[in-house]
Parts: sequence; C-alpha cells; structure tokens
Amino acid sequence: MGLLPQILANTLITASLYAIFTIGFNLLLGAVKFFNIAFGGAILAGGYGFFLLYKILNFPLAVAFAGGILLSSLFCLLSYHLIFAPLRARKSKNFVLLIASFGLLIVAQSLVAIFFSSSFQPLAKNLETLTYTLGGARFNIIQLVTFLVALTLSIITFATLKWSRFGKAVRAIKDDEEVAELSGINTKKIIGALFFVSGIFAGVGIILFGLDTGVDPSLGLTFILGIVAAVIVGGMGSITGGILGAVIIAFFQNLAIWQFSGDWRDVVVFSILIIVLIFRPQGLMGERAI
Amino acid sequence: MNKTATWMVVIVVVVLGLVLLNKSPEKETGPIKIGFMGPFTGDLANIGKNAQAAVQIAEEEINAGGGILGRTLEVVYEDDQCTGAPAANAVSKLINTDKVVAILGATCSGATLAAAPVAEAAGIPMLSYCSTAPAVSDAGDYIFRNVPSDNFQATFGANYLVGKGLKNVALVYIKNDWGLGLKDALKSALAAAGGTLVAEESYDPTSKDLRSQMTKVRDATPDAVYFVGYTDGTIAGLKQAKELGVTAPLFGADAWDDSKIWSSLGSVGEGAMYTLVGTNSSDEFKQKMQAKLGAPDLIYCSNYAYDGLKILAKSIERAGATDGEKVKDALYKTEYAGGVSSDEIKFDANGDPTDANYSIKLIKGGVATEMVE
Repeated sequence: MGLLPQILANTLITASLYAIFTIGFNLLLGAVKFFNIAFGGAILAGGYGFFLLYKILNFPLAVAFAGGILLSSLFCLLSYHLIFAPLRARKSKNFVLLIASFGLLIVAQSLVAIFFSSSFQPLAKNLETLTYTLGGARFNIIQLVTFLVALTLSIITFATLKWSRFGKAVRAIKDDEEVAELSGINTKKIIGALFFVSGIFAGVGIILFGLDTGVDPSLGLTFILGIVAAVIVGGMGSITGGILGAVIIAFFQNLAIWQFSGDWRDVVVFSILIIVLIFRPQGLMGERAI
Repeated sequence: MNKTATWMVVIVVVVLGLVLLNKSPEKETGPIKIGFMGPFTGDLANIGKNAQAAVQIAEEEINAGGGILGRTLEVVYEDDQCTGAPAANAVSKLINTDKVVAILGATCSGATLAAAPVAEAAGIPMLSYCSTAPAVSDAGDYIFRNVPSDNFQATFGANYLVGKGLKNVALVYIKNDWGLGLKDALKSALAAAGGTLVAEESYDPTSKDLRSQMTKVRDATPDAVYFVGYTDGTIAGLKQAKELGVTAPLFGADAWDDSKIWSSLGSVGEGAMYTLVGTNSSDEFKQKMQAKLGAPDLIYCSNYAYDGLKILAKSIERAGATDGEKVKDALYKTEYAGGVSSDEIKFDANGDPTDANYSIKLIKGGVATEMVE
C-alpha cells in the first residue's frame, strides 16, 4: 500500500477545515481591511459552546451544533459593536484594530481556560467512528462531512458574492468603503452582518474539528496562525484565494511530515509564506479576486 | 575626602545594613515550608491534581504526628504547567517569596530540568516524584528523584517486546525533554535486546494531528508501535492510528497511566499496553485518595509524591535543621521503607533511586489493569 493516497487524503482533510476558516476570515478581511485575530476567539466560543451544550448539559447533537455556531457568531457580532465599530468610527489605524483583536483573542483564551480548564477535550461522546477506505486512503465519517461542508460552503459563498444584492454590496465595500457608502449602501449594517457570518464559519469549522479530534484553549491561536498563512499565500480578502491557500498550506504541512519529520512542518509552511510575501505580495489569486 | 568617596561609604553601609537585616535570625517557631510543583493546568493537569491530593494527605499525616522538628509543616502548591518557563518562575517564587526549605517536584521532566538549576544555585534540595528523563540524573547535587530513570523503563519495555517476538518496532515520540530522553533510551535498549527500529516519528507537544506520522508508521508494517506520548497527543494519536488502520499492538510508557486517556478513548484504547514502574498501593492509601478526590483515581506519580513528602520531612528531621546543605546530606542517607511507592528507597550518588521494578498494564474495558502473564 503506497503512502501517496493517504497523504493526499490527509491533505484534503486539513485543507477542508482551513478552507472553512479562511472563507469566514476573508469575508471580513476584504471589507474591514484588518486582520481580525479575534476570529480565534470566535473559534473558541463555538468549540466550547458546543462542548458545554453537548457534553456537559447533554443537549442533542443538532441543538448543540446550532447553539455553538450561534455563540461564535454572537462573539463576532458583539466584538464588532463593542470594540471594532467604535474604533473604526474614530478612524483608528488598522494597526490599532489588529492589536485590539489580538487582545480580545487572549482575553477569550484565558476566560475559556478559567471556566473549562486548559486541558484537551474531545467533543465526540464516542471516539470510535465509522471509517471508509477509498483507493488506499482511509478517512472517517466526520472528515468526510468536513470535506462536503467545505465544498458546499465554498460554492454558496461564491454564488452569494457573485450574484446576490448582498454580495454586490460586500464587493462594493471591499473596493472602496466610502464610495460604497456614498452610493447608498448601509455599510455599517453590511459589515455587522459580515462579522456575524464570519462567526458562523468559525463555529462550523471548530465543531467539526472538535468532533474529530478535540478542543483546547490554545487552538484559537494555533488556527489563526495557519489561517493567516493561508490567507496571505492565497490573496488577502479573496475567498477563492483563501481556499487555494488552505490547500497549499495543508499540502506542504503533510508533505513536510512525510518527507522529513513532524519538526519541519512549520518551517516549510512559514517559509512558503515568506517567499510569497517577497515575490507575490498580493497573493497567488490577488486581492481583488472574489 | 571627596564627595565620591563619601557616597561610596554611604552605599556600602546601606548595602551591608540591608544584607544583615535580611540575615536576621530565622524564626524557629513558624511553620516549615516545603514547595510543591506540578501541572494543575495543561496537558497533564489530571496527574498534577492527583499528586496534589496525595501530598495533602501526607501533609495532614505529618502534622497529625507532630510536624517536623516540633513545627508544623506547610506545603505551598505551585502550578508549573508542565513547561520550562513557568516551572522556572514557580521555583523562583517558592524559594524567594515563600522561603521554602525544600521542593517536591516536578511532574514533567521538562519542568524539573528547568527548575533544577534555580534550586541548585539556591542550595535548596529538590525531589521529583515523577520525572523519569535520564537527564535528571545529572541535574545537580541538590536534585533528587524517587522514581527511576527511563533507562530502566526502556530496557524493560524493549526486552518485553523482543521477548514476545515483536522485533520490528515503530517509534512515535513527543518532542520534549521526556520524549527525547525516552527515545534515546529506547533506541539503545532495543538494539541491545536484538530488535530493529523500523520507523521513527516525532510530533510537536501542541500538535493533535498525527495522521501523517501514523500513515508512515502503518506503511512500515511494524510488529509493535512504541508510542511515547502525553495525555492529549495520545488520545488524538491512538484514535488516528486506529482509523488509519494501524493494526500492530500499541505500546506506551508510564505517562499513559492517566485514567483520562482511557476513559476518553473508550473502546478505541482497547488492547493498548504500557510499562509502569511498580507501586505498593495499600488499600488504605487507595481509600484515602478516594476520600480526598471523591472518586477512585490513583495515578502512580501520586504514590511517589506521597512518599516524597515523607522522605523530605524525615530528612529535615534527621538533619535537625532546615539548612539546605544539611537536608541534602541527610537525603543522600535516606533509607525509607514501608511506603506506598517502592519497597525501599535509597539514593545513589546522582540522587536517583538504586532500585527499579516495572509491570505491564493492559487496557481492558476502558480501564488499565495489571497484566498477568
């Protein structure tokens, strides 16, 4: 049995998860033009909201899933109204917004550690999951679902941005927020909605990941690093670029472990990030692509 | 006399005064403080809290028996997060702020190795109840441990595997002081026992994705997998190994003696085995732990932590003083028997126990049970 099919499957599994995250992250980045590191906080809110509802309070899976996603969305929405909207109204520099969002992630991470302890928690109640074999590669049902969800969400997001009124408004804001506002678009409302929507992606991604593996408070920061790398490689604010970046990052992560060893994973990934920044700073797809 | 000279004199006087004030005779009536270090948060929080409960029991018993040198014993508990930098901070706080006379700790080899230079420099004896990395032997004159080095564990494990005909072994290990130490020990032990290493894969302590590593292990078709992991990585790694179709027996080390792993994994952990240093748990001690924790849970480090505090207390008693050097000398002359860890504890010149015996545990129905040959 060759290794290649399995390595490709592992790549696809990692890429699917990161694709879900980067769509949420990029939707916001395109509009507000700052790296919302607090997206990692939304990831934690979703993961631990689900953990609380499903494993501690024993709600049914579907209820806990919806509750977790709602929580991560509310986290994003509240962060917008309480922190980012006032700062933006004051015309704060993007650097200030970045620092504020970083602070918010650390606050969220510490709060989660206080209330849920910092130890690792698998989200599934039974770790024995259905596994399939396809062309020499093995994967489990949650990984399959993650792939299908990533695919569906990518298509829905692309179609919405391309053809709906909401999508056109979002693209107008991405091009130029002031011009969009002058042409009658309620930019504050749209940006608020984008914060909420980006939280949905954070919640969906982390719950699927947690059901397959588990959650701990350091995951917010861990995922943000990978997301930022994928977003920069693919093209900042570009949905398709983010997905491409996710696939590339996931591929090189797995390739590094396969060809060298686990230690080399981050060396390879972040070297690619630096190379892209030097030779193609706008990212592979460019920032203007959807 | 010029101004500079006058100021020099003033400074010297002030500094001398401060030093002398600090040296004011130690209060001989207050409690004797011993510091405890262990992970209360993070990967091995379960082990740290379990050991804390055992130390609290020992503390209560020592005080019920009249304390040490006629003074009460007070244990100061610090969280080292199982990591180097927090451990170095914890040990500094214990020595400089709490003025402990000895330290019981730490759990993780990485934490012990980071704290050891601080304790050594301050001349405060330190006794680890759970750090098994070979490097702890050379950590310093004031550094002791009552658990045996992984050199013994690796030899026992390698001999067991090869003896069972499982000669081709794949090694997966966590990249930290403990994992690296055990990896090296196992490689030489396996070679000495006549086995072959067919794969060698490492993972970052924070990583929960071991799929590519396990894919390579599967591809090497080993007779057995020796998986050196802490709690979190083990839960994720064993699940992924099973899903990827690794069918070889999974074999681990003492860190797998954490009930959280097996209760989380459920049926996925069935059949896994690990080596564990012997303990002497009496039913009485098990009951005390259950009363303290509210549930029956006893991790082997807790046996060593309980005995560790008693050994430190007895050494201070025999030294007749809380002076670090005298306590250290008394520790080297320890002959402690009848404890709940091993039959008898004596230290060699490295501060390591002179004797070690191991057993093998097998996971059956979600719990670790002693394997009967």
